[in-house]
Amino acid sequence: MFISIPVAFLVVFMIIPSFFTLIPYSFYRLEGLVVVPEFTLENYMRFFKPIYFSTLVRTLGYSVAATILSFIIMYPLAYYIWFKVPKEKRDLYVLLVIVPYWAGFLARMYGWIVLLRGEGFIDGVLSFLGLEWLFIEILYTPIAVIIGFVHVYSPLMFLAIYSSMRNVEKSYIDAASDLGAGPLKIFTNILLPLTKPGVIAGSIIVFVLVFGSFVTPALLGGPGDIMLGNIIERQFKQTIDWPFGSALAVLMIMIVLSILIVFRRYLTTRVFVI
Amino acid sequence: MSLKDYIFRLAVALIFIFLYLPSVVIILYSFSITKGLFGFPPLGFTLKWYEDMFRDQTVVTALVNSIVIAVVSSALSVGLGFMLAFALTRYRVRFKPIIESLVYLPMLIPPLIIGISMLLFISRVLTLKTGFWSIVVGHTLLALPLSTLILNAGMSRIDKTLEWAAMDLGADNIKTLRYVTLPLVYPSILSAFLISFIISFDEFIVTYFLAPPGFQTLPLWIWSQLRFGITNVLNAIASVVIYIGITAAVVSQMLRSRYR
Amino acid sequence: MNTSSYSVVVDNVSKRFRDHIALDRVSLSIEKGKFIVILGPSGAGKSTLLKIIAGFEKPDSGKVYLEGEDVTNKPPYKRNVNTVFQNYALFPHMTVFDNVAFGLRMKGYSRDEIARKVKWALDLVNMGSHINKYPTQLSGGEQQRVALARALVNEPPVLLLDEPLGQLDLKLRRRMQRELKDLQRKLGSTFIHVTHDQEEAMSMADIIVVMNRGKILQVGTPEEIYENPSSGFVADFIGEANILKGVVRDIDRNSITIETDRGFSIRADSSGKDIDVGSNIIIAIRPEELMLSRSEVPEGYRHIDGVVRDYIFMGSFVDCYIDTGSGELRVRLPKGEAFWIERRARVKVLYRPDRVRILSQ
Repeated sequence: MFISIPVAFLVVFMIIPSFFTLIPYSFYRLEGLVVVPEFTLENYMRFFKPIYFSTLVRTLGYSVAATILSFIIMYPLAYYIWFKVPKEKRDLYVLLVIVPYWAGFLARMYGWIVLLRGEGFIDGVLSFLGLEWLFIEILYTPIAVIIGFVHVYSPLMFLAIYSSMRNVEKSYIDAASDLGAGPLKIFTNILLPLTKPGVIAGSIIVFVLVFGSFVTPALLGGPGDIMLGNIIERQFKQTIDWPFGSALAVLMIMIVLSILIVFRRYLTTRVFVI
Repeated sequence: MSLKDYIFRLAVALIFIFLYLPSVVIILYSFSITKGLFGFPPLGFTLKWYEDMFRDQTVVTALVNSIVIAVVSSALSVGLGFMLAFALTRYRVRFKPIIESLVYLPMLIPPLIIGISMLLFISRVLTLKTGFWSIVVGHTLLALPLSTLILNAGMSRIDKTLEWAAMDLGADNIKTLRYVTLPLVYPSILSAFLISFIISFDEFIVTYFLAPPGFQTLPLWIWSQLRFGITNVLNAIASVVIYIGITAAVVSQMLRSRYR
Repeated sequence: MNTSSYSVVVDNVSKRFRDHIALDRVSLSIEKGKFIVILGPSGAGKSTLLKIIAGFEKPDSGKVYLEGEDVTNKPPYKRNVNTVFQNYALFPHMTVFDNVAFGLRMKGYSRDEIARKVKWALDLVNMGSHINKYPTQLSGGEQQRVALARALVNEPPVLLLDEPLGQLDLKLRRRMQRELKDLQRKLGSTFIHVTHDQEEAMSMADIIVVMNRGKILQVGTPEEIYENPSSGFVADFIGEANILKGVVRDIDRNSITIETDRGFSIRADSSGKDIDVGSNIIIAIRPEELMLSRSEVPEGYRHIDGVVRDYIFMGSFVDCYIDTGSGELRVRLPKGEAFWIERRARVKVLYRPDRVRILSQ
């Protein structure tokens, strides 16, 4: 049956390279510039050096921060579009939220550089308004990196939350407020439980995608703001220590896969396509 | 309307500004003749940067490469996605949950991992040189989940009795596919193609690891500009990427909502 | 079995979906040129039977013959039958003309022939003027006609109709029933029509096949089935019936006396039947074959005493519910004969013993 063609494609170009090439490679030894296929745990031991370990902690920090911020801005937006926007305009609003996701990844990173750099667009606006004292100096800081992540991945958080929000009927909220529940009670007792699957799915998606990144910190962050992905990238593109790079990559896959497996029941396909 | 509603609306407006500001700024500068690179406010109107873009041979080569790779990999991902969607919606497939998670994995696995493991596999296991075809394969892999999702949704909307009717009227499996199934999923096919096209056209990470020295795609060119010196032409090129991405996304979405 | 003298032969066919048995060893032989109606409630297996004849479903066991040929393992496109689907299944991306021409194109007819045959088929169903419209531009009734033309244009010896009138309103449905019947007479081919509407079955069928729970319960002309239902289910499903359980108390030549579970005894004509005293029995009396009177009992009738519990106007007739002691009987009177009925009136329920049907023992 012809399902075997795509499945074979995925096995040959994804499973074999990532599991049956990357994992063995992470146990090989590098001698000078030559990779020697001898078993060693050295590559993994190197990870416990403070600079790598602190990078892992920073990477987790970025992922958590971007996830929380995406939730904070996209939850109200999903709520607004589902409950406040007239029915016939909803699809248009949803389209407006997800379109930026497709508007060029590097182009938007570049846009943030233009906006945030010293004497950049935002500073320009501020001095135009006579507000020089507000000048921002956040490009090449962790703040800029997090802004970049939230900007890139929050539309995915929106899609996931919105797909759950669609199951909440206005009448539930009316009924709750009729029974005397205030806005906070309605949020914690009605909205949040009903949209929980979407919130979890969106959080997993944003977390995992940020966790595996290296381009955003490379462009918007300073030299000290690098992530696990940047170290891996360096092993492959600059220092040519492929076994060590492979070991770090195996570590990254294991973390990502265990998150995906633990939360697999929330990652239904309807989360991705409206 | 209450004060609360006004605050809510303001917040929504701010979110939309946040989402669109970077793209809008780039587009503004791509038409402006402001002194220096990014003086404020952007002034004047010129198409000079767009003209320069087409005069730069490296950029044109990169653009052509990007388009060719995107077209080939989209065709592949739509073809493979169609096979998957057809089988998953029409037949009782064994190991269905495993196959589905396999198909949707490239969407959530970091592209960095896909890039380096393909690099290792092709260059060290197969001992081949990476290049055009390995980039095409990588992009196909990245586009496959969404294209399968879109086609799956399109296929499951088709009424099964339409295919029965065709067979009842003497059409064999191939003719039923040709005259009934394909014309009915055509909007989804186009939609999946467009999404795959932008995924590939805008793809940087996998390309970055698989491109041989000297091989350019548009995102690779933008990356080198961002790392090693920004020029006015970059505004025009980044804008072109934004136009193409937005157009493809909007058309793709409209094609899908037409039959709802 | 000589299968070639029949249009369709279904031989011992079973089909199960997961744990649901859709068809349970069904056998049926259908004569050529007849209008067959398969009748049964939803879930009876009638649509599954049709799909197995058309080839959309494969039977788990058993065989299907069309014109004497074993087609059990042939795909739908190699079977000489055509189907009119419940939802019409018109191709939404093709015009009326292209829909109707589809089957002819698949068989490789020339352009001229296709044009001629499509015109013939559309004229047959009075849709000649809608050739260039798309299905979405047509009303339900018009779509139904196009679906019919699309099947008939292939001149199939057997036409399968899967509840094609179910989505039409009552008036249109009645008209289409007559038209379908006329069409079948004109063409002389075999029509197999599935429905759950017993009136539709009675008005169209040469032969009715009654199904329930994956089994065929009875096959016969509408008259046979109405007059001699083989079971309480058939009696109740074809028309309505008072179904009574009872014990035979007395036998007197061609007549028996039954003590029913509803608190009265009833006489029934038992000619030709071999019944013992004391045996359990099920009988049916149709509400329209009962009458009511205050006191007099006409010649040839017998009576049961009762009290009017309730009555409901049903348009041209009145359904009366008569309390008979420990149960009730439904009596259907023409409107003109019911003017004197009132609640709690003492009445006599009149019946003729030869209209009491003995269903089983």
